[in-house]
Amino acid sequence: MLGWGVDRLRADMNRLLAMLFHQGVLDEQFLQLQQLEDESSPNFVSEVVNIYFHESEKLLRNLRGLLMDREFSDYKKMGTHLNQLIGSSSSIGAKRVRNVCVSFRAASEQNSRAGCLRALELLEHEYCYLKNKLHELFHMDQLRVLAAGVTYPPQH
Amino acid sequence: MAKNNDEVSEISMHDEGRGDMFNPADLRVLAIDANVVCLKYLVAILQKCQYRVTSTTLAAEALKMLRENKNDYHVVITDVKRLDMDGFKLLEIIGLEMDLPVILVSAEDSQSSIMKGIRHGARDYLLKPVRIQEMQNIWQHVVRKRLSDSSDKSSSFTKEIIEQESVPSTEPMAEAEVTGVKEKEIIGNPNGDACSGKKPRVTWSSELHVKFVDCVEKLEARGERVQPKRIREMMNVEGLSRENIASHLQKYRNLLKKHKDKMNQQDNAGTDLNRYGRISATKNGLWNTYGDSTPKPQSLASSCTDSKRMFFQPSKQNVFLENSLSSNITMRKSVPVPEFKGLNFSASSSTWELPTEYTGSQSFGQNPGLCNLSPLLCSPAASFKPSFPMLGQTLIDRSPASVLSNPSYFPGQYGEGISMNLCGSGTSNFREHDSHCAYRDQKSLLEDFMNSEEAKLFMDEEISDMVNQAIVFFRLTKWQFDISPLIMVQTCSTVRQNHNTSFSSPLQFNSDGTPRL
Repeated sequence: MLGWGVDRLRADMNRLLAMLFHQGVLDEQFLQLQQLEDESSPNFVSEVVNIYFHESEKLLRNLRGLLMDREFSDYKKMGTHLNQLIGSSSSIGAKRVRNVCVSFRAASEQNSRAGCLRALELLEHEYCYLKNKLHELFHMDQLRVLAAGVTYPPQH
Repeated sequence: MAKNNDEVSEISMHDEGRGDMFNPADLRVLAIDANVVCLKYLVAILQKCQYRVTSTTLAAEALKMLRENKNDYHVVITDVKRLDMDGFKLLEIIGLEMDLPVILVSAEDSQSSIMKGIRHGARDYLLKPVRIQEMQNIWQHVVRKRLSDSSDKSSSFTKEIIEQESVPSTEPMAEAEVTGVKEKEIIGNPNGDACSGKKPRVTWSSELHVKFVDCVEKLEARGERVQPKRIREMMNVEGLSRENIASHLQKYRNLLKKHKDKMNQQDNAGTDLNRYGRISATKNGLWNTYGDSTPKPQSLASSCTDSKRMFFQPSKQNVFLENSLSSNITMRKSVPVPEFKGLNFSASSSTWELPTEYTGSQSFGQNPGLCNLSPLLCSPAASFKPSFPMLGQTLIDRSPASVLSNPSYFPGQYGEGISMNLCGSGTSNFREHDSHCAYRDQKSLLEDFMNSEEAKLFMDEEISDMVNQAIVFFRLTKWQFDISPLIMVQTCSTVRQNHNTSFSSPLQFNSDGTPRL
């Protein structure tokens, strides 16, 4: 009975992952991350991803703060934040988020406030979607581990 | 390995006892990156290479560590865009003060940035996220530096080092060979429009190839020598380096040479290079039978997810201009048996027509609805007979796509047979099969197709990689799984194709064989 649950969960996880790949939300870099996970670093993927969420949310808040300011003019600063986001998103394989950031950066280089606002909305949307889906994935992973009967402290 | 170390340390006593440096596994790396996520990933990769890694996000801290004991480190990896200090300045300081090789890592690959890095003394400039293959080779920078430093001292010393280096490497990935290749790349890159050790992947799409052929023709017509440099100027396409053109030209010439003899025997003689060029592949062909980016029918998706996971090496992003991640099919763990639940052909096969013959050469090149010459990726309904005027005969009587896509195409039912003339030999090859696998013939077609040089010339690298993956999959599973190769390739492809949906419905054909557009 338990065994059946594990297989089911794994299949569900695979399906979710496949869908995310298909949609272009994730790319092969994410697989690289998974390959780096082994006995010496068993929770590598979730650790990195959680750091990513933490950092990205800070950056997103900063970006929104900058843009909401009426006297905003510091596009360069926005560019810096965006570079960070681009770097970290490509490191974990968040392809769509990264692409939105790239076009966001282009808009900021043209000093287009409207363009930046649009890009920011899109970015927040993509980021939320990614976060939800990855949380779903990790949740399923935790369940799978529990179902397999391994004593394992679930990650936040 | 230990013996090697002893010998090396004896010889390199001049190196202040850093003899163990020549053993790549003992490389000591300092990694600096302002971005925590990137740093964590970088450290993980370096540890996987079994280096000894120290890391920090702060430049000040890094400099402190270096100043305290520079002998603790062999190489420094740092990023470029920092807030606390300019990455290039940091690079300079480390290079000058501590005389250590520095490798730059950045999310940005603009040429100006790379040039700047080189000017400030970087040993290499890598794009984020770094690949493990790149990290496995960074020890070469240390050795190279050693050699260039000590070449001032004595030549015999360097000779011994070189001899030492020719001892087979202990790394399982045959680093020495890879290094050799990499060195060549670095040295032989005169244009400087790609960072050392890495070349942008160029996809020879049909439009590009047409342009290429046009330029070649023009040059020939003018009586000028057909040089890559001239072609490059004429084409005036951004991102296309002389090397890209040179290699494509070479392939093209080989192809022409091959068919030169045949050309004389044929009725349609004449080098209609344009037609030849226009038959070349489009990037995506017409194969997207599902039309949009919505997830595939569940049955297919579920049955292929495991295989996707194993073999998925998708999008090289914008292959034309950006540096791309090459796909390496490395199976680190043992191959799990993929779950192939019922392959549900009935749903999709209803949209596929039985292919009628289609003589395609005239219609090609006039509209975006080109049949991809990589027939596997044609719409399943597309069966075409492209005639290479060079050969004057049919290359493919029946596209593999039509064979692959028709689920009732079991071995022994070929009727008039399939002529697999990818090499233009002109004979029909009837395939004898006695396999139990319904798709074994299609798989052989797949392999034959991939072995054809012409096919490779016109397939862009993404497609040929996907096909390669499909073949590897079948070989690894010993062709046991009764899954159509077309599905396999589709699987590999759709997971990355989100936006490249060219056509919403399979190509359909009129009774005279012309496509209904």
